[in-house]
Amino acid sequence: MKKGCLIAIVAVVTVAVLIGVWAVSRYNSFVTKEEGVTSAWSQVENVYQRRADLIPNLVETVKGYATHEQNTLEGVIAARARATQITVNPDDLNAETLQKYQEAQGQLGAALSRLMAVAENYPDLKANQNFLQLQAQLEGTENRIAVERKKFNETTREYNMSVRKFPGNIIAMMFGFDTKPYFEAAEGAEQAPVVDFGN
Amino acid sequence: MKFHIIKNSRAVIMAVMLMVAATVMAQVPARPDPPRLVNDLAGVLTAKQVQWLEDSLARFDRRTSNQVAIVTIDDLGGLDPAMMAYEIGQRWQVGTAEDNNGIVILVKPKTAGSPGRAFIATGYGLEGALPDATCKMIVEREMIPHFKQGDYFGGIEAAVAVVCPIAAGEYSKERYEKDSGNSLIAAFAGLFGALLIFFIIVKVTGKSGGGGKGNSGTGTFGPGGIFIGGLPLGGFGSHRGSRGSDFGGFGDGGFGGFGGGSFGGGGAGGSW
Repeated sequence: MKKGCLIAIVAVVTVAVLIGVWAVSRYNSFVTKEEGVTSAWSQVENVYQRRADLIPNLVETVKGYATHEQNTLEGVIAARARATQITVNPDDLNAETLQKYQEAQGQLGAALSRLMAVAENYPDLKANQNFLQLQAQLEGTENRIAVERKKFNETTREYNMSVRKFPGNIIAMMFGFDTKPYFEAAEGAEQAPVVDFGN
Repeated sequence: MKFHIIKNSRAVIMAVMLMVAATVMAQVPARPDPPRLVNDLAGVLTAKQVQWLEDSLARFDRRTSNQVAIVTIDDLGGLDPAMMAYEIGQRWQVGTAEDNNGIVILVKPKTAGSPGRAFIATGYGLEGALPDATCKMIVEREMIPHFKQGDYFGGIEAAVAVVCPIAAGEYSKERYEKDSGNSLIAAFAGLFGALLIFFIIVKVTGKSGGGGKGNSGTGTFGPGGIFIGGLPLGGFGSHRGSRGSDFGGFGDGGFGGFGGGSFGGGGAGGSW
């Protein structure tokens, strides 16, 4: 009788310890994966910032040649100002904040592509060495944005999958590991060009 | 009820994403096994040219740990050349994991129905050494003029001759960007020098007579010429050093394998 009781206690304790060990390992893997999402997010913000940093120089260069494109230039400057105001702390990363971020950056992207389209009309500008360099840098930055968004989505997918899978999701729920949002496919594609009449 | 809808839409998004991922995977060429730096999937190079490039790039890898992969491909499968080059670099893991110092030179030959495309993608670690504007210049100045004449080897060789020393920090990008006018004369001078060295080497190795090793013999010594070949005059002197160490690399085998490098979308390209 006493022996049976002891065995039962040992069994219960063993199971509890095993569950504890498992929970800790799950928890740690969530932390690691969440950290991955955080660093992927900071890379995303980096490359968007990189694009924003190119703009003053670009606007200056275009201004010298394209004198009749004041509206387009102001549109870019305004969109840049709006986009750089919105930053998302990785802890506040949810569908809503990401959406806002993406919208602002999408508008900036659209304004920039209008500017580059307008630039096509100025042969002198297109021959300017400085402009060509900026154009190459801008293209490169757009590529980097595409890559970092993709990496962010991949890292997030991995994290989300681990957080939602049973039975790990119990631990995730207990410690508040929520799923994180994805970037939507075509940035700015769904937005009609906004005509900016200036303020 | 609402919960279910959310769950379903999530599942749909997930499925779509997985499908997209699967199709992208199908288009990107598989990592070569055994590993090779030169992958002429479009078949625009001769076997000898491939070997020559492979040997010189393998030696460049051993000497500097910078990995330069060359891929020619017939069909980009709907991908942008930048994305294709990036995917190749990322999946093949060109460059070392510590330094992310890989480069992918992607060439899609011109066909009757589609324009030719070239792209130089840089790993994270080489974005500083080879900024996008420099890559663009290399594509437009070194590659496309050759490609327009159907000379794929010439264009790739000229690009490698500039990309390698800049990546290794032996030749500055600023100097390259300034050296525009005399590059043609310099190329001729370089070519002449390369030929001279090549003939001397052929003579020397011919005397020591490695019958079976003939292939690796010419291949190994070729790059002395490669690196000098497309370089503007100023690079001539500084490249004697590297040629010297390239001799040292003789006999220690081919390319050892890709190293775990990562890419972030750096680089630039052009079309013709």
